[in-house]
Amino acid sequence: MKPWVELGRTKTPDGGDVRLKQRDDEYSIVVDGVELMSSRVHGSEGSGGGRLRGSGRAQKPSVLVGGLGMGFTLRAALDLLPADASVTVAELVPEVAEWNRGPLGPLAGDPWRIGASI
Amino acid sequence: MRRAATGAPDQRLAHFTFLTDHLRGVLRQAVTPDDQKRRADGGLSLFHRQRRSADQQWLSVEDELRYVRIFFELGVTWYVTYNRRNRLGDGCAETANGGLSDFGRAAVTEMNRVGVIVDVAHSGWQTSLEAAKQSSKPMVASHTTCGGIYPHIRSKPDEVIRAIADTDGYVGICCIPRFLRRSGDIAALIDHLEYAVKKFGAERVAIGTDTAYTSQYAAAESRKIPPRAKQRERFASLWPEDDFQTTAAMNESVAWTNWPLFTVGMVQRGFKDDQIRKILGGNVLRVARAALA
Repeated sequence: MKPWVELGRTKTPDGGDVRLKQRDDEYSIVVDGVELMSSRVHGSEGSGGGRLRGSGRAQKPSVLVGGLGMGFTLRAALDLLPADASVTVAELVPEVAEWNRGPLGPLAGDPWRIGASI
Repeated sequence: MRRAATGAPDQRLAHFTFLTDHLRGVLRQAVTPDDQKRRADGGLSLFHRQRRSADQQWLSVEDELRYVRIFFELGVTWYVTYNRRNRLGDGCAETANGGLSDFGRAAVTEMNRVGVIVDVAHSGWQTSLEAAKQSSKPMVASHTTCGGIYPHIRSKPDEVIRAIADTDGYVGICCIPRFLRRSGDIAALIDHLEYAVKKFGAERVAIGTDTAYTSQYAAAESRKIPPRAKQRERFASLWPEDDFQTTAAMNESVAWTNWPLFTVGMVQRGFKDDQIRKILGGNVLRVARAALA
């Protein structure tokens, strides 16, 4: 069995223990010993975004994404919204944003570089 | 020989006690301190379903109605009916569309008195109309679709949605591609939300996914487990036959993990922020508070 390697550790504002782990090309964020999200299990975000593309009518839409996670939802939102859209991400845990600028970034194609403010 | 009380109240109570015990912390964080004060135990009704109400071991109206209070204390809301007919009324799959029974009317009145939210998501259309007429508190169809877009038996036609709206309730749009129709995906979900908002107002609309997340590895993982013996005919067998093909992409696009994208979809269609807030949870809280008042 391949062991998990801990890449980072921090706390939530209410004291929860948050850890970023890696095993081969798989990443996992674990909170208080329970897996919150895994890079292995995603796909709905891209599928949802793809199927919404082109269905919008709003002018200069403004979207707030609550929580960065591994960036998949942000990526989907950026991909489907028009170029004049404003996208802001609210992330309570600064280290999660840092992890997205580091090892997690490539998972969703570094969406924070595209034009969202975090 | 009659099966040994499968789904009998005591077994269902044990199941829901287990469930609500585990969710208690989650529920506490979903409501305000004022809401919690309304309940001596600090809980709030869980939007879960009592699917087979009062259909076995019948003793008397009074005896059966006491379970309304018991389930309420456990934090569980009741369906009026599931898909089939029961003593309260006809479910949505019953072709007779027979409406609410005398006992059903008594049950709705008891739910109102106790503080249980009346939910007609799986009820027949006539049952839903009569429950709305009977209910003195806001009522819901927690996970359904707009029959005005596609009239599946699990949908609610405009007449029923109007009746629910008139109770100050809401309809939750579910994420089942077969019921949504059109593209069967997140765009279809937004179509239903938009239809309901335009026709009945944002105060009358919510999202009631009715689906669990299924990972892209679920099918492969399931194949590793030996198949279980068939226990009973699936309820879906009651759905009218059609040639609609649900795809994995449809299901993925409406997975509850895409809740943020549901919001983005509404923004794209031009929904206002206050409308979106109501749809994402404000209406559910309004009805819950009215039920507890």
